[in-house]
Amino acid sequence: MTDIIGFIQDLIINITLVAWIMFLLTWVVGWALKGAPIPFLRIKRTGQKFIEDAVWAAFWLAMGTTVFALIAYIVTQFQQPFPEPPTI
Amino acid sequence: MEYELLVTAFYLSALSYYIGTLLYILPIPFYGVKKWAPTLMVDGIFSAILVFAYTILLWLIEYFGGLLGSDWASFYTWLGVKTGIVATLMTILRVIAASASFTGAKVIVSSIITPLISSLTYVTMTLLTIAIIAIIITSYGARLLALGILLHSVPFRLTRASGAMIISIVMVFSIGLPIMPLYVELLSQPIGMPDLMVVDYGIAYVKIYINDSIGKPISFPVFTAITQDNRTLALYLGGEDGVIDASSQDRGLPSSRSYNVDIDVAGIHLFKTIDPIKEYVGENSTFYKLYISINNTLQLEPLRLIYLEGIDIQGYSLDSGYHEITVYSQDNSYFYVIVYQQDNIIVYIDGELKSPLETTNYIWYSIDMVSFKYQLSPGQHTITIKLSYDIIPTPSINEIHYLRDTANISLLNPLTIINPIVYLIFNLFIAPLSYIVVLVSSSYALARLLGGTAPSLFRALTVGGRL
Repeated sequence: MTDIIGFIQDLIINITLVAWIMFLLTWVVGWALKGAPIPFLRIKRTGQKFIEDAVWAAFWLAMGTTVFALIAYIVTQFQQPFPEPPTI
Repeated sequence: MEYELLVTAFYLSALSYYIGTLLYILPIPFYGVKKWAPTLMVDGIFSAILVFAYTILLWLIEYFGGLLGSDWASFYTWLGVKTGIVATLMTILRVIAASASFTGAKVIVSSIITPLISSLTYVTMTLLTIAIIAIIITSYGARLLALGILLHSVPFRLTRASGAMIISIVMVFSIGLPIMPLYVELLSQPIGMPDLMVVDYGIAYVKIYINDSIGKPISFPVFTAITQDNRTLALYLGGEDGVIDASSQDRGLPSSRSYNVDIDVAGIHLFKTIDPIKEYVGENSTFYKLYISINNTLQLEPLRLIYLEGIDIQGYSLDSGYHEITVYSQDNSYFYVIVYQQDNIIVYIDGELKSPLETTNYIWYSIDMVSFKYQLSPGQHTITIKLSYDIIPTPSINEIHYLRDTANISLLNPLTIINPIVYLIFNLFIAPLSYIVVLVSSSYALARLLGGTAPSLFRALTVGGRL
């Protein structure tokens, strides 16, 4: 069971890393599309959407630890604590 | 074990959340992939809440159980009693079937008894299955709950439905199953419980041998079986050979509980408590023998007896019409010679002709009897009795048959057997199953609420979707 937990923890860390890299990529791609000197509005809108999504996702990514800590805090106010929130 | 499951579940929900953000962030314009992102994030958060609410869920089970009056101990007692009733009834049916010997019995046994026994088998199976579910829920409920949460938090909703189902089944059954007896009894109330005395006392086919102090059979004993609270169970008349045959159809005697008996021979009573388990001598599991001796009594001829009070019998012989009894008396004591009124009797004590102290005429089951009382001084004596008689009268008795009259079960009247079993089928098969259906459907509804299918509680609360 401990192996599985370790595996999942590694997976979470890797996914977070990949997500941050992807954020940068999406940010760049988004601005590149949005600022591209082409007259296709649809593509520009897609770029805009990428930037928005990336910003929101980055916000939730950064808040992840806080979100789980908050859940742990609120729920354990009613009952005894269980697992500690993950630290990334 | 539960702790590790919960920790795993927690990290799985965190994983769901982060996979959600990763999908959210991906620079691809495919809506199909992107729509998973918020779903995964919300699922992760909900699963995490469930993980931390584990003890709250256990507490909720206990709280609602207490509120509704769930009590596992009384549930198990109820289940045990009911299983016992069904098992006894099956044995009774088997015994009745084994003893059916009249013409056409085979047809009745195969057309009535066999289907009834098989339906009772289904009833027993239902009860035992419920017992197994109860044992699993009581001993592994907490672990199953943790397992349900783990399955619930696997990313991409792979096992979310089954996890939600496990959680809700554990919760609903833990709260609801112990209340089943209340539901079942409430549902069965209007029907009225048939009198199942035979289940309480059991049935055995017995031949009873009544002997006097020297081991000779006593003719025409009247055998009355009475419950501890004075209800007559059976009344049988023995034959001239001193054998009471309670082993034929419709007769029988109790087999599982002690009962009192009153054995009456020409007015001489023997009261005794019979413990079937100890005193029945088994031929096989259906037919038994029971030996009872009446002390202080000696049968000279059928319905001609001597009853000795505090006197030891040392020897007895019959020689050309003279009954000679050697006795030893401790104190001044009495003995009674009981004969039919038309008999001629001469009594000698130590060779001396004696006339009785007292003569009492009485009627015993429409036979005119007479009792002569004699006195003996301390010491050894020889009583010689010359007895001449013409007829052996037979007492006329309305017998009460245990199965037919008391237990009200008779093969010749099949409804008496079918009625109690139909009651049991309703009480212990249909009603419990309907309750299980109620529990399963509530489990399903709760599972939907926990996110077993698309509309979930959390979605309703966060996104405002319809439940």
